Amino acid sequence: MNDSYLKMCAWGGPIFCALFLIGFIGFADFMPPISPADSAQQVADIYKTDATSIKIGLIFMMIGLSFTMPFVSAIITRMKQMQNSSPTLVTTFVIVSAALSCFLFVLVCSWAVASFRADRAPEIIQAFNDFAWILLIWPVSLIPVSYIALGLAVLADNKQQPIFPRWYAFLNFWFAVLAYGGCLLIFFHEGPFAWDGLIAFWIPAVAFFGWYIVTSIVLLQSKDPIAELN
Amino acid sequence: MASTPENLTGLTTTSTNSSKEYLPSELGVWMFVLGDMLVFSVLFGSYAWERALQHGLFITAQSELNQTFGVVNTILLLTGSLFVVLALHAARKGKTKHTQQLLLLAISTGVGFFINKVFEYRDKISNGFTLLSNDFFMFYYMLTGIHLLHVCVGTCALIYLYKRLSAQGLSTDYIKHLESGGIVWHMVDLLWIALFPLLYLIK
Repeated sequence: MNDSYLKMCAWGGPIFCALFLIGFIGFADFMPPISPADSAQQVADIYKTDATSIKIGLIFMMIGLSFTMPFVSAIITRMKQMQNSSPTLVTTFVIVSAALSCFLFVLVCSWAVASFRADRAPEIIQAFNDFAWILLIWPVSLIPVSYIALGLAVLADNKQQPIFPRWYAFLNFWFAVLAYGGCLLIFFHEGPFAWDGLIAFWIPAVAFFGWYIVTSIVLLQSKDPIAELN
Repeated sequence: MASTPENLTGLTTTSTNSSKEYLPSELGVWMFVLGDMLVFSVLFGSYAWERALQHGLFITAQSELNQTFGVVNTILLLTGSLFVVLALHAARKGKTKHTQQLLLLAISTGVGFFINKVFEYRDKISNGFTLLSNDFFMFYYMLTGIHLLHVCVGTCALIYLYKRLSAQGLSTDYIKHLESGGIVWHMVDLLWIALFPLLYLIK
């Protein structure tokens, strides 16, 4: 089997991170996040003054998003090649990854709606802004399941010649723990557990983007076990 | 660990190569445990930060906590850790029945911790203290909640070990698993040992 497409797709992760973060930080200036404690007028003012750069940022994020799909396909290919590969774990990973793409699409759309008519009532802008930020953080309640499924699949693999190294499984479990920090964001407007807080935003953000980078490296170093035999 | 004739005859995972240090379980598990403790350090750090900013409020709110619940839970977790260690020793000596009994005792301390915590939460909520009362209670519920989640995961790991022992019996592979379970359980214990004084005792 030819691995060259897989290696190409393995670059999807870093490309997604780069494009998304250029849009998110460079253009939209969403880092640090718009505070959940801001009033409707404050939020509306941000969308009014930065309208163009926010829109450019959103376009970067949306295009970046498309690269997660080939990337995830590359991981799924490897998961299926693992020894003792469990179809249940693969399907779990597929469903969560597909759902995540939808969430990210809808959340970028929601920012787009907020910035599309910046002269409308501030409360409406704030509502779409809230929706987007909650949709950005709250998937952390779901994503860990895909990390755990992937980690378990790696552990079940052949111990002598595993496709992914065993430490990568434990790293996935750790990323799962890091991500869960945002689960309770709907209770808080400020503090470490709010959507701009240390535990709910900064740590899960590092885990989320870090996962794409580490996984990409692991993918590029992995080998098709059947091709190895020939 | 010196390789005496006794532990070579029993079911031991001790490395016979004396030049190499023996690592219980595997490196990945230790990495995970250290990573998880790093997360808790960040949580403790942000707690300490908020506490320094609102010292008076934290002291007043802290006095609402019932130390008895905390002490009972500390004793439960410490005994649980002891049972896991004894279970590992029994397993290494090949005593299946004894290992099972000790694992059951360890599982019951985990369940006991959970039940005690639920009663403590109910007590706090009935006194009107919730997650949103103030920053102290936000940290109290979040830190103990995240820790309780760890207790649940650890207890599930012990239940898995118990079931696996009943189904497949003792093996070197099983002892590796038991060591991993033990390490995770000790971590849960260690985190509580840090959490308990931070939330209940520090003045």
